[in-house]
Amino acid sequence: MAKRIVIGGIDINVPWRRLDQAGPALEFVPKQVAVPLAQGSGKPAEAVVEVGQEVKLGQLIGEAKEKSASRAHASVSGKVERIGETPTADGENKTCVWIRNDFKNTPADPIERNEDEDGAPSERIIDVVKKAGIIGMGGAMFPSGTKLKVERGTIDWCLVNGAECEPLVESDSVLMVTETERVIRGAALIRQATGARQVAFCIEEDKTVALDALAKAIGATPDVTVIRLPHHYPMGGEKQLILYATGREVPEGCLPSDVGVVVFNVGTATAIADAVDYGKALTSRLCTVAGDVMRPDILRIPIGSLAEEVLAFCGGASSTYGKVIMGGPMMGKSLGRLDVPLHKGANSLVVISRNADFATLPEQPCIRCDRCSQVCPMRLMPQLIDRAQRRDDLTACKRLKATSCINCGCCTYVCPSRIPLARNITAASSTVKKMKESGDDGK
Amino acid sequence: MTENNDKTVVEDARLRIPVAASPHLRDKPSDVSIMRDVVLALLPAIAGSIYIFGTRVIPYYLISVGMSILCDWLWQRAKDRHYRFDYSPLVTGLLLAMSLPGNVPLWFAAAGAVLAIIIAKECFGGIGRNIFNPAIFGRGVLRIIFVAQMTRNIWPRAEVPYQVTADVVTGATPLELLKSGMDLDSGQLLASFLGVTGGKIGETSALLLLVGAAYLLCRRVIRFRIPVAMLGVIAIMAFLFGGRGFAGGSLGVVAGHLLGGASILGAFYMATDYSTSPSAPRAQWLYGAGVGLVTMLFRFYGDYPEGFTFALLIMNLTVPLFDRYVLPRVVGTEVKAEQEKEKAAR
Repeated sequence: MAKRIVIGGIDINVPWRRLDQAGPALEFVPKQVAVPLAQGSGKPAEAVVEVGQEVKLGQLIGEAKEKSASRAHASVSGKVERIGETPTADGENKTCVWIRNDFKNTPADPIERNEDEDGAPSERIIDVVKKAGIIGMGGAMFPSGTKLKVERGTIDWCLVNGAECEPLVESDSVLMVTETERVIRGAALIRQATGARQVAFCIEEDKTVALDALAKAIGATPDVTVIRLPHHYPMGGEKQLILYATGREVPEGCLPSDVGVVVFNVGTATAIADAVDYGKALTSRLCTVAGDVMRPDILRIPIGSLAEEVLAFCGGASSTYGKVIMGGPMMGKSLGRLDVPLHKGANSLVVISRNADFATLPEQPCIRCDRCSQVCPMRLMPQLIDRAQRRDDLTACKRLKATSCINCGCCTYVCPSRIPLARNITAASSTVKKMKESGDDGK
Repeated sequence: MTENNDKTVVEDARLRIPVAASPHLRDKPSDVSIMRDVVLALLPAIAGSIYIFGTRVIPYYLISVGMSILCDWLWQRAKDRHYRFDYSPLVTGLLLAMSLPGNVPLWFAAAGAVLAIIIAKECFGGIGRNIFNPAIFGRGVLRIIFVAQMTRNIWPRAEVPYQVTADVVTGATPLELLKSGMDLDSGQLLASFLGVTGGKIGETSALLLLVGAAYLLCRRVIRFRIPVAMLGVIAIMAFLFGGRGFAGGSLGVVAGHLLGGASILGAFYMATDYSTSPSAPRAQWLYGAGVGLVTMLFRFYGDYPEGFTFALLIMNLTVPLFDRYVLPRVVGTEVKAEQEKEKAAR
């Protein structure tokens, strides 16, 4: 058995209760959607529809021309109203395809398969995954097709990440309970595509229903296990998960596949299963609406639904907005406006009222209490990096490995002086990365 | 943010939500609550000192604390900053008073507070940036200038029980007895543990200081590494070199060094000072051991029986070195992908 290693991390208490929903998620039907052509850090896809054109549910609307781009599909059936710059969650304007829903859900033809019988089965799976526009749904939004392309025989572990360590977010838990078979089928396909020797479903111990459901469904399948993770943040971080489940460290600058591991979110696994079995493109996902909202719920939302429509569906905020966050409260993006579309990585929409918003407390000088370095899951020294960053000492930032930061936010969470350590370290990290790219080694 | 005119209805409030970098949650403890915990932890020892030595020690506390807060306030005013009381000058003032002999002129307390707050802390950039522990710096400077007065000791009131009469007659504290090559009997050790013996105002009662230390450890305000390393090294040194010949330290010698002088107050409340101790776990072990080692060198070879003050000031200077060279290995560094792969999965 591999050594179970947990480094740093925190146990988070939030003033909101979990929904612990066991039934299927409610379908959210938007009036319109704005499907972003760019998802994650990749290049935008190119629009292949025109304004005024009728589109079907799942029809290709954005073709991936560049390597890092991924495809976009219509998430409702209806008429394309506009293709243009739209404010997004990142705070930048990006090209989106606006579709007015005709509420008919006319399905498009299934994804055309590469019927080339000579191709290896793994090639066929990767091809379909790429065509279905599947990207990492845990939040990283890395194109899954690229991730599946690994050298055969080098992968020992396929970890299916259902940790969901962020407080309040329950989308993956519901998915694992209601679509257990699809999750397992997705994992089997990933295993087939990557040649992974074993599969492990990694779930935090507090999600008992999901744990039971999966354990029951896999039964005694050889080389397939369920790993019970401690309820601890950031257990679902890729590097943390790999360390805990396999005892392996991902060296800096390396990918998980370099140490023989691939990690896929449970949502991504399900999307892969649906694409391969039914030829369905990725057009919807589960999203937890939580925090200070009137009716917290877990919804199935078409990609590109507007945050304000989703919030309104849940009765709106229950008090004055402090913040609205797309993603979990620890790593999610705080939205500056509500007329932005939800992307494929949007696992939740959290409202934090002004009263519950501790984050606005004024910053005080660092008292060097070391709480930040005690909780850092990467064993960094946030207080020292922060200090180096403030005096623009890039050499020190580099020496202190600012680039290894995973931006989990544990340091900021525990800081008694309310210093935005994670933000400052991210800034230091991106400056160091830029410096490396420009070939200047900071001397 | 650029206005988007394509949208028909634009509610103003909807577009003006405050944004902030993640994470969007915060833990409860604040710098103020941490300092307040330290004050709470010191209260038993302070109350004990007033009981043991009488009300004559109260003015030292009042003047030391009052002057510390005044200096802090004046400095912020002079710098045109908004003043925010964060309890840290209160901690400094209390620790300073506790490390003074209770029979020196009262202005020693005031002078010590000025040295601590203005010279040791504010001149180096304020809280978190000072090199020397402020209270111990104030005490150290006074100790160098007024050697005779500062090496005096205060003695318990006659009514306080468990005193050892021999001590009162000879006027020697437990550490002074050890220095003169004597051993301590169980009565003297008990008096030393309870604090009913000669010493500095707040240093004598190991028991009450340990009660506060337990509270700080439970609240995770301080970590055990520095005190354990420091006291461990003191015990080992006392055993090896404190008795007759090598490794001849008796229980009386070892316990006497652990309980006597500033060992307990220093280990739990001063050596653990955030600003002036290193950050990494391994560095904290080494630092604590260093403080213990230098303290014992002073006790064995110095002219006076106590050496914690200068030991801590010397070790304070090593902190930047620890923070530069003794850091934990960052996850993912110094490892090779091939080696990691070879770790047998099952």
